[in-house]
Amino acid sequence: MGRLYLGEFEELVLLITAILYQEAYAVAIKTEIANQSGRKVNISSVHKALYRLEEKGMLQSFMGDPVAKRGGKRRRLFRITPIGKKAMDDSIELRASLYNRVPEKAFQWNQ
Amino acid sequence: MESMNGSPKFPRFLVRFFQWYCKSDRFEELHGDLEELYLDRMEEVGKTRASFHYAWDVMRCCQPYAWKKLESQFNSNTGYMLKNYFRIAVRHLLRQSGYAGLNIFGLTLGMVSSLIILLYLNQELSFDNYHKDADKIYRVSTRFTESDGTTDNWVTTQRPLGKTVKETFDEVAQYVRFMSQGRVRLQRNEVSYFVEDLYMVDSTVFDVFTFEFLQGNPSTALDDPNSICLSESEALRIFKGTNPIGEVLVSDDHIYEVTGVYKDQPKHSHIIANAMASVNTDRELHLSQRWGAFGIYTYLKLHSPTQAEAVKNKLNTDIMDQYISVIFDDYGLEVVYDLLPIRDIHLYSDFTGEPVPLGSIEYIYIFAAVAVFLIIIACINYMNLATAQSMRRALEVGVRKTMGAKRSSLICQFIAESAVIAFVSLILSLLILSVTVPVINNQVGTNLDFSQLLNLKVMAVIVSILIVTGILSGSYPAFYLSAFTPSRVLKGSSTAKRSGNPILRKSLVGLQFSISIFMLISTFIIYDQMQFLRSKDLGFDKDQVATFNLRGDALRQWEVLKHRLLQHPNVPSVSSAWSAPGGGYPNYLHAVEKNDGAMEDLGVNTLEVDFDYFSTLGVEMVKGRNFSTSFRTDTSKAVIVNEAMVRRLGWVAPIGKRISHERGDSTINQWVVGVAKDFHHQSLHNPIEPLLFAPNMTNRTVMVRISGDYLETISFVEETWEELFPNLPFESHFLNQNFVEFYEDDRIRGNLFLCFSIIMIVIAALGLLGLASFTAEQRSKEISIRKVLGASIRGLISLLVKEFVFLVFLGAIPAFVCAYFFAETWLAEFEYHVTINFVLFAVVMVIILAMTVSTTGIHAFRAAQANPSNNLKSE
Repeated sequence: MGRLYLGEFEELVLLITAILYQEAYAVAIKTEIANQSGRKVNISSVHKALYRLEEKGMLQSFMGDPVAKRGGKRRRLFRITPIGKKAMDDSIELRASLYNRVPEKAFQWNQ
Repeated sequence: MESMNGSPKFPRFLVRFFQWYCKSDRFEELHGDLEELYLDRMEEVGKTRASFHYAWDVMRCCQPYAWKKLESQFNSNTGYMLKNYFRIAVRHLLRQSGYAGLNIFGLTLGMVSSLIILLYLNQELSFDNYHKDADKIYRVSTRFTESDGTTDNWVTTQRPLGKTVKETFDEVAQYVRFMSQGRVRLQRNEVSYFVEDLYMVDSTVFDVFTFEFLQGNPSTALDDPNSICLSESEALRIFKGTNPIGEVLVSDDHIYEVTGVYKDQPKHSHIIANAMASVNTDRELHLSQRWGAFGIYTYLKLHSPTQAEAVKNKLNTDIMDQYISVIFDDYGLEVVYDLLPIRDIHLYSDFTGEPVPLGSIEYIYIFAAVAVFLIIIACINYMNLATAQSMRRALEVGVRKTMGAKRSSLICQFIAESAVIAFVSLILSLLILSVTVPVINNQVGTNLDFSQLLNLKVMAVIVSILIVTGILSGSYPAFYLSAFTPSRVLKGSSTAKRSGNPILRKSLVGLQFSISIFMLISTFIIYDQMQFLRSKDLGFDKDQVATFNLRGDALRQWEVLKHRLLQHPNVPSVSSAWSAPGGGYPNYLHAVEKNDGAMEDLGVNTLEVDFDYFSTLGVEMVKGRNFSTSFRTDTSKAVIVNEAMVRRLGWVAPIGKRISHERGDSTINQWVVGVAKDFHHQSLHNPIEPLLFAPNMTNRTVMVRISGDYLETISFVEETWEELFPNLPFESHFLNQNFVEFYEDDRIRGNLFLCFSIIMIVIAALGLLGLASFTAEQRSKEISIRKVLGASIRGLISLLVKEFVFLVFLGAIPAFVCAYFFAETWLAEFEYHVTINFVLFAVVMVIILAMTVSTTGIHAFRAAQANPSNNLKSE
């Protein structure tokens, strides 16, 4: 996939997928995003991000068992891959290092 | 939970929509998510709002990640599948070669006929469009209204108009005048050639109209006096391949030098000139400043078509005030100019005196409708046969579906199959057409041009016909067949009885009957009217009258010729007149005495005739007397009018009424001595016009009544002529020929109609034949069982036939209504017409019933005859 690149929303979805571990599927992710960040997103945005991450190799997926609530339909469950972990690490590391390089004065406004 | 196998709680169409766009391998997870969300929301916000959210989600999810991939339909297998479809289609056609033959034959017939109509319409609609500036060329015509409300619309205008308009109006780029010389004799080396339709034209003619020059230079060809340009075929006829340029042709009045040869004008021209002479040959004609005399065609080329309205207005103010009102106002005659774009002349002109017979936009619509009918009937055949046989394909559909074929691909397969059949029919039709077009032209009298089919516009129409036919006729079977459920079809038993939707098939057959009945009735009514026109008493005896024209010496020595002709025992009377019935007559201004003795100026159709006119034509006097030599003043003081004239003027006592006109400085008074019985001087399309018969002993047109042997007598006339005028050619024709020509267009249309109705009925019969054989086959077991139980053959036949007979009666109802209204409208076009004959309706019913009973009866009879044991043993 060449360079690993994560969009902001993708990164959020990737993280939450990792957090939910065994229970990571679209509806749960959407709910979790709402709970954790207060962002209301449409289910289709979550779908889009998930399929895209899977395409990039950062997630892998498999079908779960039928669920009665879903009219007997199965869920697609996602799990983070090593590539996904690496991308996430890179991204967080990049941010942390960049953050550390911000001169202190930049955050002082009242002088 | 209610839903282990579906989602009844959602609006169906939304689920359908979702299913339609969603990739099937993602449907489960995606729709599962939506259902879960829905249930969560239902608890939270209630059912209604949850449904709205669901709808919103369905819309939002319609994104590329969920879409079906096109590759799934056009994968590497596509080529093989197409090949397979094709093979199956061919096998199917071959196995059912009888039905396939019927189908293709019916469709081909339908297409051939529609294409012929298409050619005809294309020709009618393309009149005059070959001129480079066709959109900017307008013809000036004149509308008159007399003080008593009588109106006349003349194609023609006055001689000075064109030049004046060109000089004074900025909008007018160029003008040209056409002055008809009619049939002109041209002599070359003492040999006479008659040229029909020679026109005197301005040298600007080639700036306005587009003529393709083969020899000579169009920009100078007609500049000099005594120049003449010939059409290619005239040049070839007169000069037989030698170079005509610079050769001399002598007419009765002028000597011409040939300066150009142009390609014959296309047949779709509203004016056709076989030869054009420079108008300045005749200075009097060319420079005439007479604004009172009409009779020439004036065309204007404008700078832009948007100026037409302005030019028309200016014509009716500037020109009218300056030149025309001064002449006509005194007589209470209102004159208005009208501009007609040349491309509209053929179909929309309502003027009299057109140089070439007109078409009519109504007939364009009628024929277009006929073409559509033909295609519909052929398509119905296809649909009926295809669905009727659907059970034969049901197994195939079942197997294909089990093997994973999608419905869409099955639909494609069946539509493609019908498209193939339509395509085969089209190719066949084109082949047939290329052979038949000349035959049709010959037989029907049309001027169709097969090469027009290769024209881009026409090609586009043909391709769309192909597509529409393919889809129209293929769609129903396709959707119907592809809807079979594999499990049911493959089990076999339960569906064996079903073979398409019988109601739909019946209504389609009913529609076919309707259209056929309508066409047949209409055709019969047209024929009835044609027969009526041919046989109607015209008020004079048109048979056994020969007519010919006088010119030169013959005109001067008319009395001698007349005397000699009357000596023959078979020539009871001879007359000369301005024109023979069927020809035209001029309209002069006369002062006419009213009932109260006052004089009123009116335009009066005036026909100059000699004393023997009425006796030669066999027209009686209803009042007063005929012209007579025993009254010496008759030659100058007497006139006769027809009954229509009496009605027009409202005369109570017509005899003795005064009619006067100016000639030079003096006033000439004439008195009515007799009223002639009305007779049809013009075609039956027109009413009998008021006519004034003025005495004149020598006129150009001679009518000879002949009793006894026509050929022998006419050769006597010819010999006499040659003896007296050895240098003048003699040409005569039957008087009733004039009247045959009047109805030529009607006759052609009648013939076309007849052809098409026959074809329609043949196509419908073909479909019926196929359908009947299928029904009989399908019900063979039922019939056998009935037979075993003692049903008679007659009873069995009627069992099968009555269904179709019922449809005939059902279809007849709308057909009768439509046919009646069509007939009323069409007949109203004729001033004199038959009343609608309801016997015709009955005759048509009998014909259609006979056709139905015989086509369906054959199969019914065969089925009823069959040995029951043959049909039942397999059970």
